[in-house]
Amino acid sequence: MRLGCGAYAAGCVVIEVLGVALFLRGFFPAPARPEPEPPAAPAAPEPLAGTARSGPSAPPPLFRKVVIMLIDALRDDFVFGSKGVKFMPYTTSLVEQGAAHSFVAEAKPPTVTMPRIKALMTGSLPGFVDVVRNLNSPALLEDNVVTQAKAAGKRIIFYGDETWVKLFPKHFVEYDGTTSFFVSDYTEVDNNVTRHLDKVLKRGDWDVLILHYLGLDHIGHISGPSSPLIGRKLSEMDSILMRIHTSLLSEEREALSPSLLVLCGDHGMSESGGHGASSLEEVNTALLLASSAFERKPGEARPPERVQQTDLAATLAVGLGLPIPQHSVGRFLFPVVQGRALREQLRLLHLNAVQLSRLLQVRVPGYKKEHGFEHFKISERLHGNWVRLYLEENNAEILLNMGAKARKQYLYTLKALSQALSSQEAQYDMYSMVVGTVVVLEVLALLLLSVPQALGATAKLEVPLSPVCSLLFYVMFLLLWAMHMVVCTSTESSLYLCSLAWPMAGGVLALVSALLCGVLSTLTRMCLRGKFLRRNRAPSHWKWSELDFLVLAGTAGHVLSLGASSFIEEEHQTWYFLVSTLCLALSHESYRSCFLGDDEEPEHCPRVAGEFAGAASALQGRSVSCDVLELDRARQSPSPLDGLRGREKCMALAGPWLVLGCCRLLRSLNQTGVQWAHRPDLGHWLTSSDHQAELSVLAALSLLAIFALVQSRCSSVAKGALALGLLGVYCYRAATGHVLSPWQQDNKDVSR
Amino acid sequence: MKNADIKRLLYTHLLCIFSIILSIFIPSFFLENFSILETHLMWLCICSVFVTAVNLVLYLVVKRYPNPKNISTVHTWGISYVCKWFYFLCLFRLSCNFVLYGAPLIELVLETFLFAVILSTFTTVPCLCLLGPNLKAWLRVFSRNGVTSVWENSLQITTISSFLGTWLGAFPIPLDWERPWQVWPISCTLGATFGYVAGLVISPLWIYWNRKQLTYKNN
Repeated sequence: MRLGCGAYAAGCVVIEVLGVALFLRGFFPAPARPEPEPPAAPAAPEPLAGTARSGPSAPPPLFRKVVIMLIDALRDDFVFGSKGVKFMPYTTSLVEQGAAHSFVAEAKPPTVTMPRIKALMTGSLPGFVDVVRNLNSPALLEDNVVTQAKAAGKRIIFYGDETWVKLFPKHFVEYDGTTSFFVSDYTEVDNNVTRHLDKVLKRGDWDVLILHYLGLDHIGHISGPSSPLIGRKLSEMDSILMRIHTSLLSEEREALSPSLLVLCGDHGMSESGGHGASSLEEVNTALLLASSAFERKPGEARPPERVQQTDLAATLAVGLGLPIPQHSVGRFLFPVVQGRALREQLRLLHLNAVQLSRLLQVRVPGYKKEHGFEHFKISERLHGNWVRLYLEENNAEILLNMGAKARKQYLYTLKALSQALSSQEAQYDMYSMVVGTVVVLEVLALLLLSVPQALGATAKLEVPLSPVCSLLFYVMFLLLWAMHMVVCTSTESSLYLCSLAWPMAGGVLALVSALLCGVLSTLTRMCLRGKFLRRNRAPSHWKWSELDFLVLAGTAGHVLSLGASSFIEEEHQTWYFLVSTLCLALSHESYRSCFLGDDEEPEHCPRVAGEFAGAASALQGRSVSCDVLELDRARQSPSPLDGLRGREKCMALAGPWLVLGCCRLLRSLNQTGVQWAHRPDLGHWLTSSDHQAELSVLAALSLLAIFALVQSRCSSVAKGALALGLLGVYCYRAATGHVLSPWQQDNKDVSR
Repeated sequence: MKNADIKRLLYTHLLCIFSIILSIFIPSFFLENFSILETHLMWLCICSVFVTAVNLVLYLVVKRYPNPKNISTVHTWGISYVCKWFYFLCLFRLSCNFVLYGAPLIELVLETFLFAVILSTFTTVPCLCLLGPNLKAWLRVFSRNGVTSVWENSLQITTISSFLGTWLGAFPIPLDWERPWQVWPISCTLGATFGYVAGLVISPLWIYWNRKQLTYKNN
């Protein structure tokens, strides 16, 4: 069977896409959507050894009000480092006085705002897929603190980054979103949040207040973490924190129940001011919990404890008396409940442990062997014993000792469970990644091997269907199937390919083996032909010219340069540079053949002209292959007319310079990249409203030029359609107000 | 014949290299605050003057290049006049090329011009001295299998290597390394200088290595 060139290439592309899709499916940890929801059980009762006496159904909230002040890109050293001491005196004094617990919360990459907000509110770890959804974040459907609070009848107010409003569209009783699109604005974006503060702090009709300040992140993006603007912004944030805290304290005196103020960052800031990766500066964020309920001896200076960012969701849920979000992998921050009674502490620890172990049961098939789960069973038993003793009102000292032991056991359990769950989230599906890579590499090999045959529009490629090949195919298929079985039965974690229905998995394996057979047969055929050729001593006419070398080296060099991020940022510069070089080399070639080759080969000059036209059309990305064909025909036809040759000569000599000039114009038409993007360019000049007339003239001229260039190859009907279409383009632009329309001008005059 | 030529070639090239080294060290005795990076334009001028002088002295005064035609003094003056025009034309062409390659059109004109001066010092001046204002000869030398003597071969190598050095030197300009030498045209001039020196060193060695294979039409 023989296959056309186009069908072959299309097939290869389709299979390539399939391979890439398989790889991506393995690379991105599967989103947690399809997993069965753990039953939304009512709060687990206190474990009571033996008897079934029910304790209090759900623990009461620890705090009456919670204020979350989220500052974008609040790195840990902005609060706890030297900068914090200098610019955030109130916050530092809070920590020193013992009215606040300080933590360094570790954010998991990707350190981008939306996945971080999700992590803070759901306690789960959003994967890299969420970066793609960052700009267009749909509503958060997973179980989270905000939804729980809304369901519990809490009134939530939000001011700040509008990502929150998109994530929680119907949750806030009042909100005002600010956009993070204008990165150069770092003042207004925060004032728009702060302006509501006075009003809101005075009224007491809310339970949760969330503030998200974007200014610090914007400053980081503009001028980096060492800019003097950072200090000013931190002082501003400190004064805001002071306002909120004093207002909360004065309110507490009347209401008698404590409130909680959370200061946190969603991600850090790298040394260049960006974020998104996993460097230490980007990952470490500050987390500060302040409340009058905390009792810590003042002056007890200790470095902030390292915790996970996901722990905040559980902490907030505990603080507000809500059930912990189902997918949360965090454990609540124990210092928050340190001042409470032992029974309450154990109860809250138990709730968190139950939630984590339920999640573990859903996610990990062999959960019973898991280290954390065994410890969970032990601590639950200890807890039960303690409760029994407590209800029997036993000796206080024994109670205290046993309680401390149970608490220690619980804390250890929570740590183990949380670690097990987080490591489980970060696993790649190696099997599908390997299969995807193999498919892609096989297609690549097949394409590379068939290049010599495929050069030419009418080439046919042979599909190997010989008995040897089919035997090889069956053997390969059986081998792969056996391997598949071994892999699927031996691993415990869920693999995508194993979870597929068997015909699908079989199809993929058949594809892999078929491709392998194709590669092998092409390879053997090539080897045979090479031997044949060598025996026949066929002389090769292929000779490397400088231009061939230049094109090849330029392509390879451009590809290689994309390995460095500096080159990626300014990729267009490399492109322009290489194109200019190619044009200069072409012009040198044409000059040489036109001036020197005259006495030897008079045919040379038009040939270069044709070559050049082909190259130029390839550069412009247009398919002017017919032009080249016409040139070819002109070359073949015996036309020794000197005039024509003169014109072609001129074209060949002037062409490269024309293209070079156009490239230079292109370069200044639109400054892109990173370093020079802010510089003025022709595009801005044209689109500014002062130069509308110039833009209109230019647009009209270009449309006319398109018509003039295309019309010679069209029938009269097509010509008319083309003209109408181009006129329509202009009219559309005039209607949207980009260019002037002559009729509009008249109307204006008339109306005047 | 050939070996003696190669030896002379080596000596002249060493003199050229020596002149470039001198242009780096001598001005610091007379001028304060002279450094290649900070007072770059000054160095450009001095370097091009030195190299031009050495080239002129070597090629025209010593006249060890076998002149094919017997030209009278009047003719020599006429030729030198044409040479000047050629030189300025080359300067203009090079400047145009730089702008086409992306150099700023209106700002930094002096820098662009001086860069053209030094690059043409490395390339055009030796060509003019050796080949005279003869476009066909130039094109012949810079095409494959066109050279007719050791001198032309070395000219080809040094010119190509200076252009190559310039070309490679342009790459770091847009990158974000934030080094002082990434400013237009410093990295390009440094690239050109390194390329020229490398060409001066390589060409005698290469010709000596391949002296068996090299056959020239006229020799």
